[in-house]
Amino acid sequence: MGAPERSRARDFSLGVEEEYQIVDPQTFALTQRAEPVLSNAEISAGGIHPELNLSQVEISTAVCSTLAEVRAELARSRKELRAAAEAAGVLIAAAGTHPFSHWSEQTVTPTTRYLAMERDYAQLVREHIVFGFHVHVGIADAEVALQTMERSAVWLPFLIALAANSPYWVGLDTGFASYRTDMCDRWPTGGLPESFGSRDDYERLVKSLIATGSIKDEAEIYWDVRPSARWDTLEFRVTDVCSSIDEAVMVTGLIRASAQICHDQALSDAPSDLPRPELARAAKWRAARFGINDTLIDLQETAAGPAPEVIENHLGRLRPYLEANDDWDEVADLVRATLRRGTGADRQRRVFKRTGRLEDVVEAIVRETNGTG
Amino acid sequence: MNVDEAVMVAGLARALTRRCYEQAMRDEPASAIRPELLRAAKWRAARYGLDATLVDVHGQRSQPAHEVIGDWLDFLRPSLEDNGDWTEVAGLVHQTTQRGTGAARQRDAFRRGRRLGDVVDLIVAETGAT
Repeated sequence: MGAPERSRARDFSLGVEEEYQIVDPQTFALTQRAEPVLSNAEISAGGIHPELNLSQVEISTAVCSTLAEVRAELARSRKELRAAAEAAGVLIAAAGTHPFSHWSEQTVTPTTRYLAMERDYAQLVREHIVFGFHVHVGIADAEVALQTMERSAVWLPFLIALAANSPYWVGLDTGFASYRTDMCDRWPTGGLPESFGSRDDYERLVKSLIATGSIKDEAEIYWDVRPSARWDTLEFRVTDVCSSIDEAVMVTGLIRASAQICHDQALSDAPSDLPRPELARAAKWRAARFGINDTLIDLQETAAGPAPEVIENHLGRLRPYLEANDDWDEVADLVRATLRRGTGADRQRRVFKRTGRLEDVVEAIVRETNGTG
Repeated sequence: MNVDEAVMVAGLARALTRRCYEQAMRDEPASAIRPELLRAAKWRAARYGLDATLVDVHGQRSQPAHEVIGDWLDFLRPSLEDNGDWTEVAGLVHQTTQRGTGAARQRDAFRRGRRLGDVVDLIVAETGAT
């Protein structure tokens, strides 16, 4: 891999979205209080939005060009949201699933779009009480964005493992580090993105999905990485929302560098040595199942190795890009801190092991979300 | 699933295999259908069964389920005839579109008495019927 000359940081703007849980401060259960939180919120930049369920809100940052800006935006958004939540008598928690609240007790946000989704997707929507982290990476050329997308699959297991933060579901340990990943794969337009010969091929697919009644519009494509229907960006949506801002910054830095390396490979017409989709899927599943606690499949080597080793190897490949972005020291430190301290999933399990109470797990997530953990 | 339905599905699977096998032996190119569309079609079938529309992946459109099933049966007819299964399997497919799938019958049973125990009784009865 040569020095990253084409991918300068300013070409790869960042926009981050985080989905949060709304939690009752007495029971630590999910509570259907999005509306008062939204009406109290005065988010200064970016925005705050309703999401699929009334126990959920989403913030989006303004467009950023550095990780320092992302960090400041997330800190401000979380602080402002926390104030709005306090005024509504609730807490905000960032994790991929809620450890014990049952999906059957949640309510779909009553907008036309979400009610139509509930009608069409039925049980998928009812159970979809999950909280993701979306990073938009600016890529102006729509053709190159699609070629970048298809190459990005090899980086996704690495990202999923480091961000894993959804081990519990309806009060039980799922055995997964990121159970949310598995839930997102159930959607008819979810999962890994496929390859496209050209933008025309992509547009033909969108047309045929609409013509067959499979989706209503492009926004109903939920691939792990997708071209944004609204911006000149590639949107990475594969990771759980991280409890700490440090981890969110780490994941954002890794996603940008991964997008840059794929982008440069696409531009240099390097032969796209894409893994078989079946293998990419198995690698992704392994990352969701075990996080950093077992082996991971390195899709570039077509080999499995201990997770810390595979993660170091990925980090090494991204190093020239992270250095060019001035992100290397920070992101490498954060990755190694995650390897030492464990992922969000590992930390959730440690709390439960200590106290045996999932309410305590939620409380720990809330503290990390607020930066008081 | 009752034994009739099991026989129907086995007959359809064999006919499909035979049809595809013959296409492969004749080196007919496999039709290039995007995997995303196939997945959406599969999901729709799982979501609605015969109760709504199905995706016609070749025609790139959505059609009432019974029409898509009819087209598919026509496609398989030569293979079903070669296997000596046509009369039986076509009759069973027709019966399923008339009586409803197992899912539809389970829901009918529930609707009558609002008891899921009745649904289990139905399944047990159909499983034991020969």
